[in-house]
Amino acid sequence: MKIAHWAASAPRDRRRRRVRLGGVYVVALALVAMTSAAVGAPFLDPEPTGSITYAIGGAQQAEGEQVPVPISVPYDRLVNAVAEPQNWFSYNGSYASTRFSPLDQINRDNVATLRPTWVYQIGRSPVETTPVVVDGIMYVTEPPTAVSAIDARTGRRLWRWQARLPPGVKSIGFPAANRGIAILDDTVYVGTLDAYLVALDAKSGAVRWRTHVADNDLGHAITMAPLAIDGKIIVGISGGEAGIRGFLDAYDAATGELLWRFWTIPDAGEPGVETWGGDSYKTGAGATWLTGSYDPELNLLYWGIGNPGPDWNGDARPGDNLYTCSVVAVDADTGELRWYFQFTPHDTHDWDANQIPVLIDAEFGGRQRKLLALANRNAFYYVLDRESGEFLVGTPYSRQTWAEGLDENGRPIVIPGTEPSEEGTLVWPSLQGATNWFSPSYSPLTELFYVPTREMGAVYYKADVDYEAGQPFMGGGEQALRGDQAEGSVRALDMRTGELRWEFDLKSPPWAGVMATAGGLVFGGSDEGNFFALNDLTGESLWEFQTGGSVHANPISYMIDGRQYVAVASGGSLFVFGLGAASAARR
Amino acid sequence: MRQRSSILSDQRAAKRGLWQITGDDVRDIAAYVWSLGRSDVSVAELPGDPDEGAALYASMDCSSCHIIDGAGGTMGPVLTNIGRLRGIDHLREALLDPGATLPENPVASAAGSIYLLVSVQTRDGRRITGTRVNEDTFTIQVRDEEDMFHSIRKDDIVSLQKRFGESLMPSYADTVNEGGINALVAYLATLRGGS
Ligand code: HEC
Repeated sequence: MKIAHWAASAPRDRRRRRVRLGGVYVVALALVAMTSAAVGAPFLDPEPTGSITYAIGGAQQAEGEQVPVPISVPYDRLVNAVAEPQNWFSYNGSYASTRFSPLDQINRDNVATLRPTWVYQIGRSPVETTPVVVDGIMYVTEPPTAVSAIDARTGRRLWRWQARLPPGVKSIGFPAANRGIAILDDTVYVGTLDAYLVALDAKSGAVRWRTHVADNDLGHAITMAPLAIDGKIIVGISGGEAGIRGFLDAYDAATGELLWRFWTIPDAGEPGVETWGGDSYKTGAGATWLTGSYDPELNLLYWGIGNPGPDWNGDARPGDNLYTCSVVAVDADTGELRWYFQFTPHDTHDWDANQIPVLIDAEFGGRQRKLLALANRNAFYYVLDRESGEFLVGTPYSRQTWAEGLDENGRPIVIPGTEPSEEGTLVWPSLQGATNWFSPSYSPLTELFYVPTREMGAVYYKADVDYEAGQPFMGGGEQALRGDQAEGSVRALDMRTGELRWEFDLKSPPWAGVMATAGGLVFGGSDEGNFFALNDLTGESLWEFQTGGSVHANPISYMIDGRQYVAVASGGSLFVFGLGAASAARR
Repeated sequence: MRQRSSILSDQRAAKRGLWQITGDDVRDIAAYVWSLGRSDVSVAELPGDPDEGAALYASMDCSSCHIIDGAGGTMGPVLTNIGRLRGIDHLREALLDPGATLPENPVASAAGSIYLLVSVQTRDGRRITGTRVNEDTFTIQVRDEEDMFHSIRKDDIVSLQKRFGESLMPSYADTVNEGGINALVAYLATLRGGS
């Protein structure tokens, strides 16, 4: 007998929760904290309740009654995301953004038998969504802006909401993708291509509220997945190639009211504005187009900031152009800047720093430290102290021809003559960078940082450009070395030093993220459609599936009824894989 | 008007041939065409008082199942723009004989009405009553009366009863008098907002 309720697995430990439903109060049993027994590592340390085991196979049946859970994701579940490896709560999986799944049912020994469980066809591309899975329901976004809730057990859709986008909606400098949702309590949050933040009822997709974030006519857009923290929804903005002035916003999760705005570029009279010439700060870009990380203990948000505008012509913006190409630490209550670290001062190659800041707590230099690791688009891997912003390590992880290295403060020593020019300047990496928006992953078991790496050079051109509202503001372009002149890899770096431990070659520079798991695996995807699993210690490939479309998304993992699944979008579809029988539901 | 914009100026529709529109688009278009004959009803000509209807709506807890302007429960359809989508006769019928005509939700997947009342008897002796959210040949997804979702394989079912003609919504034929129904209908007819 198998009825899967939306309770993903057996509630071993139950918390009574009162939920208001349709005017009646019912007491519901909430599923809490189950972690894999096999992963007893100290990084887990999730619940005060002592021994925690994961129900594997049909084990949960022995627990007796299965009670479906109401859709409810209070903040404390998000904080303790690592204690519920059966769920993938947010774009980056957890506030630390390691994209490490503690599930180990799918492992090196059995991954060869991984096969499709179901496929959900979106039918439009590009699909760059990272699914969120909570208690058996999966939320995916579809281009240009739609959300579907799917029964993660069967692949059947429960509801779909689609934004009404105005004719001529602008997406200047990027494809009309959407990368995912945030969930908090019983509400799903999504940003729209025309720069609204929308709150949807998680059970039905009905709109709760809709807030205007910024003017799409000026090139503002939202493609990133919002981040839900305690009572707040954090939203970044795209539009750097249209000369917007970037910001990071916090909205009241209940009402949609703007709580604070952090401008990524200082205003006149503020410290840092002197790193811009004249009025150039007003159109200096610094978009916040990917999802950042959060340290609940320090109450700091860590966010990567985009490149300065115009991209390839820095003449009108002499100086370092703060806080572009930086990572910033922002107080989550006030939006005030705590510290910043700039990777690429005065960038002229479109090497924004929006890549995912991965938060790692580890011993470093003889003491336990709170670290932030980031593989930058500029081809350097960095480790910072995330309490102070202190630079600890910076080392190239991919071919680069623009810097001799970094000085003791982490500032690049730029090789003269590597700027874009009218006749063209050949530089590695290309403007798409040594890596890009797709996510890296960090395994606390191997202490390796896994990064999809692009080995591609480009001839960079510089051109004149004047700012015109709502028009491309780039000042040049590139001609990338394509085809067999370019290649890619998944690289495993020593988290503390950035030293290369292994690499797995890809035919083409990738546009897909990776996920490490406690099963000793790293999942990744290729432009040619391969979705694959690597040995996390050696890089040896253990399993591969041809999806029939380019993998341009990040993989995730989750568990239902004691069975682990891996999901990834590819082409215009979402694929879910599990061990054994083709239909997961039939065992 | 929402549906008009989706037909006339939606980028996708403009770029693609009509044969390329999706199932959701088809439902939007149907709702639009359907609404053409209904949107011009003058509330002033109706027998009921909309303000009285609004008060009844609040006191009878309709909002435990319905959303208006973002607020309320979601067991039933959103009513924010119901006065634009539905005619007077349909609104009256919805209150007196709720199961008679189930709404085809424009965001439903292709399984008929997501409001069809079903009762499922499982092999292990459970009985689940609720609305059908989705269904295929091998599985059914049900949202029960307590607002919980169930994913059920038909292999595991003893009986599946599709209760056509019934509804999770109670009929107000016996509990609300003619004046009250008129007031509610008038109020619902004024609901034309939302996005
Ligand atoms: C127990 C939950 C519940 C309550 C309480 C409830 N409804 Fe409903 N309502 C539903 C459901 C489910 C449907 C869809 C199925 C149907 O049409 O019967 C519905 C349908 C409707 C419709 C038709 C919508 C359409 O698009 O066809 C209207 C109008 C409506 N309700 C109004 C009301 C009003 C007014 C009240 C209070 C007097 C109310 N409802 C109370 C659950 C409820």
